[in-house]
Amino acid sequence: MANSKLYKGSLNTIILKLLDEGEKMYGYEITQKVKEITKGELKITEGALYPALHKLEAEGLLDVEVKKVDNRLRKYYKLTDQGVREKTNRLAELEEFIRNMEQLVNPKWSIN
Amino acid sequence: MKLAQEQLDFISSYLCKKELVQIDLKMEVLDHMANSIEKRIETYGDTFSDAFNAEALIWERELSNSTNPIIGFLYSGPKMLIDKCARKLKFFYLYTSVVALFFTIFFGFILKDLNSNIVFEFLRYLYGCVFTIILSVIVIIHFAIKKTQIKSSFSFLYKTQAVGFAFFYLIYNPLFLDILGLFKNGNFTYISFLIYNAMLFFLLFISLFIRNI
Repeated sequence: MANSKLYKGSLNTIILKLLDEGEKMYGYEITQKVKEITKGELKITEGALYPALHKLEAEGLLDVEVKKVDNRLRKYYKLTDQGVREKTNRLAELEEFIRNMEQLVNPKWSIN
Repeated sequence: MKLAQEQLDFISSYLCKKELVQIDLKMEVLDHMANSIEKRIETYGDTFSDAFNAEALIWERELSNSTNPIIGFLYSGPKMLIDKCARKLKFFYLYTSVVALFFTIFFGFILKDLNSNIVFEFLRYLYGCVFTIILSVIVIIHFAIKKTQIKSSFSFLYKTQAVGFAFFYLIYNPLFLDILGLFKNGNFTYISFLIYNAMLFFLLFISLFIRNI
């Protein structure tokens, strides 16, 4: 498993991105989706996922819908309009961060 | 394979045993555990009992008994509940402190220069009336929560904090006991003004953000 500390700061952005693609998702579904996309490299722990979801909900970026599925209540999360705007901003920040990291880790040397 | 009602009830009673009875958190954890158990049974052919034990181990830390100085050491509960409530309180304390401090510094200078007994008397009545209203609302909400009997993160936070706050709004109410006093020995007291403002803004922020608790 990859070093989860490296992903920690990007967890909220990952959640916003997944919800933008998946329309509405529940907690377990998010963990499985991340596992599937990263081929098991990144496992979001329960202790990190739910606080992040609750924080995004409190910030007004996520909306909640509760449905009864398979004899139990399921809490679905979806992006609000503000969440959609915020996702675009945070993704741009993350892309910029990745570009900078690439420059630092793998600089392209050139002779002027 | 979908879990049977008895198996869901078993998970539910396990969560109750761990004191995770708050509906908003319990339904999420129960659904998560149930999904994971179903997957283990389908993928690895585990029995319900084995799958449940494996899942309980994963959730052990989040469900372990915990306390937090912000909530108060008298109250304990599952870590995920305590952490959620502490985060909320920290947010309110931070906002209250910053806004109350700015408000006190800004209006404190004006009031000090004004140095008028009529204004101080007016403020004493104003804060006194507002604190009395707040105290009444705290008591009303307390009984409303008790009546519904629904346990949620909010009701836990309320149960642990309301008594303490009600006590503050009672003993520091300038209408009943003028312990702090804005104007003492001929001097305007900034610290009393700051405490009054902190008490005022704390409840203001809670009422503004109540839907997010």
